[in-house]
Amino acid sequence: MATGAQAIALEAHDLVKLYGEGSVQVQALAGVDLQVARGEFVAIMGPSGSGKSTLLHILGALDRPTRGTVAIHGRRYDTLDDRALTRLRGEVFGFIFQFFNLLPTLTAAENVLLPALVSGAATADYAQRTDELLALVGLSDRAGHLPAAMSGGEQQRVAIARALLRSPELLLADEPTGNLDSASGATVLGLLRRLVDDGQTVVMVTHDGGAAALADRIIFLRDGLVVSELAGGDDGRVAAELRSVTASLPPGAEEETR
Amino acid sequence: MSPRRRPAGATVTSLSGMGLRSLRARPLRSLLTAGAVMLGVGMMFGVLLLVGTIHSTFTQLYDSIYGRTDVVISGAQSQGALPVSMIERVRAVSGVRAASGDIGSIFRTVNPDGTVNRAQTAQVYVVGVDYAQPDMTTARRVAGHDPIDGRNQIQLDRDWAARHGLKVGDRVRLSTPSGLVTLTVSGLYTFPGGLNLGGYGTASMALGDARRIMDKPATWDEISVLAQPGVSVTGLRATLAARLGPGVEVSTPATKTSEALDQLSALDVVLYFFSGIALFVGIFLILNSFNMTILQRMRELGTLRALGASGGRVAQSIVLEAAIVASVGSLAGLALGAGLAVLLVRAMQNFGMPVSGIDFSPSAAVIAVGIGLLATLAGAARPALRAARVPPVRALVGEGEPPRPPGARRAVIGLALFLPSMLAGGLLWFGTTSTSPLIGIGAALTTMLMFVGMVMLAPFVVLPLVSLLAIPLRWLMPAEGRLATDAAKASPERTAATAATLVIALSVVVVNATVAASFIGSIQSEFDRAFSRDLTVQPIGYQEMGPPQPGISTRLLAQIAALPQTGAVASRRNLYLRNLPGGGSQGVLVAYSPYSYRQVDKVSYSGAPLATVLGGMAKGGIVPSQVYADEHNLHVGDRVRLSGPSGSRMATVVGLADTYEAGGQTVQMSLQTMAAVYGVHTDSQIVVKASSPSARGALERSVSALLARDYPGLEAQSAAAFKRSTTDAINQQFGFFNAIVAIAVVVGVLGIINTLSMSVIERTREIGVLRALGASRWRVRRTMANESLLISLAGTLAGILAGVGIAIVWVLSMRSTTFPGLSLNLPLSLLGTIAVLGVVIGVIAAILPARRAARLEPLTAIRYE
Ligand SMILES: Nc1ncnc2c1ncn2[C@@H]1O[C@H](COP(=O)(O)OP(=O)(O)OP(=O)(O)O)[C@@H](O)[C@H]1O
Ligand SMILES: [Mg+2]
Repeated sequence: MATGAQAIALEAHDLVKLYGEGSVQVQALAGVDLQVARGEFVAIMGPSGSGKSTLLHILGALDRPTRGTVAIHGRRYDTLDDRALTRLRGEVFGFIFQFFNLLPTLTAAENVLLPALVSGAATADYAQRTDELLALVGLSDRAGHLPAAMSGGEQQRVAIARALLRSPELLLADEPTGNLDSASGATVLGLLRRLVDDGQTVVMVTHDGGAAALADRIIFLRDGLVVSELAGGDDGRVAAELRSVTASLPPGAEEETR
Repeated sequence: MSPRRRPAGATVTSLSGMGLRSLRARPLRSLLTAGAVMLGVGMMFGVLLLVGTIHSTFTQLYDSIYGRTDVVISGAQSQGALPVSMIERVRAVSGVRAASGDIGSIFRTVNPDGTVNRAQTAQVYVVGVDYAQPDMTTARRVAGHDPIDGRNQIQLDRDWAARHGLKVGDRVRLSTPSGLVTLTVSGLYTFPGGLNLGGYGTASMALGDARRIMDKPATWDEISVLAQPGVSVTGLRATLAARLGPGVEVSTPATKTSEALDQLSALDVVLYFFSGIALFVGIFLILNSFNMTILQRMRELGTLRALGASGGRVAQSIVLEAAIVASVGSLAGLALGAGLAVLLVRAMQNFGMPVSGIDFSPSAAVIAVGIGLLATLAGAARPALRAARVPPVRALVGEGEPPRPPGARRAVIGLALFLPSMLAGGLLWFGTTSTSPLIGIGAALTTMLMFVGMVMLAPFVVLPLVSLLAIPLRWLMPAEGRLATDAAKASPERTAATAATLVIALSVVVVNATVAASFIGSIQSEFDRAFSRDLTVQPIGYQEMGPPQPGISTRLLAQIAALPQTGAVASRRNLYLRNLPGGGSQGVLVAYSPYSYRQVDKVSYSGAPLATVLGGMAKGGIVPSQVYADEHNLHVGDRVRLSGPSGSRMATVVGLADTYEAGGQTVQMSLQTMAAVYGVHTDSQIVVKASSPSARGALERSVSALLARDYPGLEAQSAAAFKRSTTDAINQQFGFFNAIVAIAVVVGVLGIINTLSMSVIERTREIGVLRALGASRWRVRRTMANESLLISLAGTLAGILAGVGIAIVWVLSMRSTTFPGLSLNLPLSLLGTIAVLGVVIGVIAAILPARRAARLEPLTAIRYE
């Protein structure tokens, strides 16, 4: 599915993110431009420290850019206050983490219900949806289990169900397979692909060329800038491009890429 | 809890459900936090019940004995006796329908062997009344008849009689002011209000017999008046007051009751204050608990934020958790408090306070729970705000903030709170002789501010102490000592806040003990300086500063004087007044015969030659203590009005007494002056000097034998025993306060356990490595015990330092205001005991966490994420 002239879901322009001040200042993003179409699956790749997570946090309303604009379906949110961002996080974005971040004291079903719970929505309205989502990720039989009783792949599938609870306009994932073996990783990626095919917009950060290849489009980041772009589908080309992006780094930095 | 199991309880569909689940995931911490609330609320509730019970006892007592009385006439300030003729003057006032006078005394039952029964329950308040007058009490007779005069009959309270196995017609032997008498039970009555004085009995006798037995031949203690129908009580009260003069108090039962309760209010405030300390230090345990939880849950909280929870919502979830803990803790506290109240009431009864079975008032429960909730929320507020500020990106990082060393700002604010409130606290607690509860409340609030200052300063004292204590520890156990010190210093704020609990609780104990020791030291040196007597004879359980005490028969003085071993003998009559003449503050009016008292005790006067002072006293002059005179600007030659139930006259200050008795709050006069103005005709104490030092033993034996035969209600104490009993009374009072504060020390122990178990969690990996490298379980335990000891000893030592510092300032401020003779006395043995207690606390607190640490398997520990 190529970009074409479809409706734009996410639009970021000249995003700059600075951390710290003075001599310890780090420029994590140096002016990133990005557009994601509705229903598109975009993967972000790049060497370690290139600003992938930083970009994802800003896209997901977890953080604000130092400069630049970002909008979802035309609504800007780069300068919103914490209250407004909080609403967006609950209603517009769904986030999937590398370390799953399930609440250890809550069961799978309760974890899925959590976004409704913490944003003050009526949880009863979501009971049915919770069941549906658990079925969608193939974990109906584990609803009452605590995270500690589940494998990493299962936990990540619960996390995906959780991110979907409030039907987000954009699903964001930071290395969702980074902590999984290849089989579980494949299940999770298959799930994401299936969601995209059903119309979900997804942005995913990954180090895994194979994972990235499942996306519609791959963006390569280096030193806080978008350096190149590829259409998805071909593992080999993705791996080669990542190598070339990483190769131009100073010696020694390469080892940091996983 | 095994993670493999489905969690118990309902599905989480609310924030509070989530809180409950989260609390269950950390059972020890939740229990300890709830435990702190329980102890704090428990002590608060116990004391509230105690105070409520004391109040309801007094209210019931007054309601029962005054019944339908409209006006009560007594000596000014309810002290001193009215002349017998006054009743006719009262009856002559128009609007008076009836007036009935009474006299009262405390009798005690006698053991089979003839000795007096010293138990509280052996006491019975007996009133002598004229049965021809209308009975204005609420008493209702249930058996027999009124006592008949001249037949030595007594009518008893039914419950007390039943407890002593007495029925109508039985004969009962009682110890009375005029010696042992045998009385016949003529009747039994009961108060419909169900008056319960905690074992004390009440009784009545016919007036003639009572006058003889109580040795009060020509006075009334009180006159009760019934107004004519339609007559305004207020008007009648005013007429009577105008007619009877300034030394007489004309009041109503309601005022009497409220006056009695007001008298107690200063004590109430002190009790509330001490009971509040446990809850106050509990706040710090709660604060620490929630801070630790939040630190541990950074990633979780970040996740919640990333899922759309607002900062406020996150804070709310913490507050909800706190509310759950507070509710559970408070409910358990109510149960504990009910138990504590039983103990407290028993302790009060041992002090001689007539208190009944516990009055379980729902308002006390509401107040205690309310304060418990407030304290918990106060403790959780800062952590909740901190949780609210966790940025959502933390979800991916998931680690705590690095510890920050306490800043200079904190020290400045701490000092700015501590120093002024310490100075003001000293002045408010001890700088005035006023017993107003408002001053007490001010003192309590100021002291709480001082505690806040102490908490802010705690890190600056506790952390250096930890470093200092680490030196010997590392010398003794190099490896464990080092690890423990590092752990204690890794979270300086937590270590300091944990120790602060002990600092506060123990500093209060130290201040109490130091003030008590200083009082005792001063009183003992006053004894040594001014008392050369060998024996003091006084009623069993005599209290100088208190309600009217049973008198001593005037015959005894002559009986003792006749003993061959007696060198000199004199009597003293003490009358406690809320407003002493010439000033208006509370104190004791002391009367003696100036010439003979000198033969027994060393009294020294200033302001005039000795002969002038003695002669002046004999002629009606008064001698204030130097302290009292300074305080109220009295000088030799000044004229002061004396007003009592028997008369009112001007008296000249003829000299000043060099004495610190009763804290220096005394005015002295001759026996005749006291009798003429205040109507006091019986002795309070008889002091005796042996004919020679070698005759002391024999004197004590023969006086004791005389008392045992004729007056078993009196006791003779040697100078040493008299000193000891005074000391014991002070120690008992402060011991009672310290027992209340002790619960705060228990909270401190819980706090250390809490902090240590967090330390075990934080150091799981480290402990695992140690174990993998071959450290024994025992060594792991010792490391934890060392950390515990560091915290508890640092807290204990800082508590002692703070307590001693505060006590010095307060004793000095007392010396420059209300108690010039006071000298600082440090209770060294108690300070030593407290230091040892610090070690014990450290060891006890370490038991659970150390076991937990020692049980960690090297592999689990290393895998721990
Ligand atoms: N909170 C922060 N404070 C200071 N610097 C930061 C902070 N977060 C990120 N950085 C810096 O910003 C740069 C980009 O970091 P970011 O986490 O976005 O990289 P990344 O591409 O996700 O790397 P990785 O593949 O290792 O996850 C890095 O140099 C990082 O050190
Ligand atoms: Mg990253």
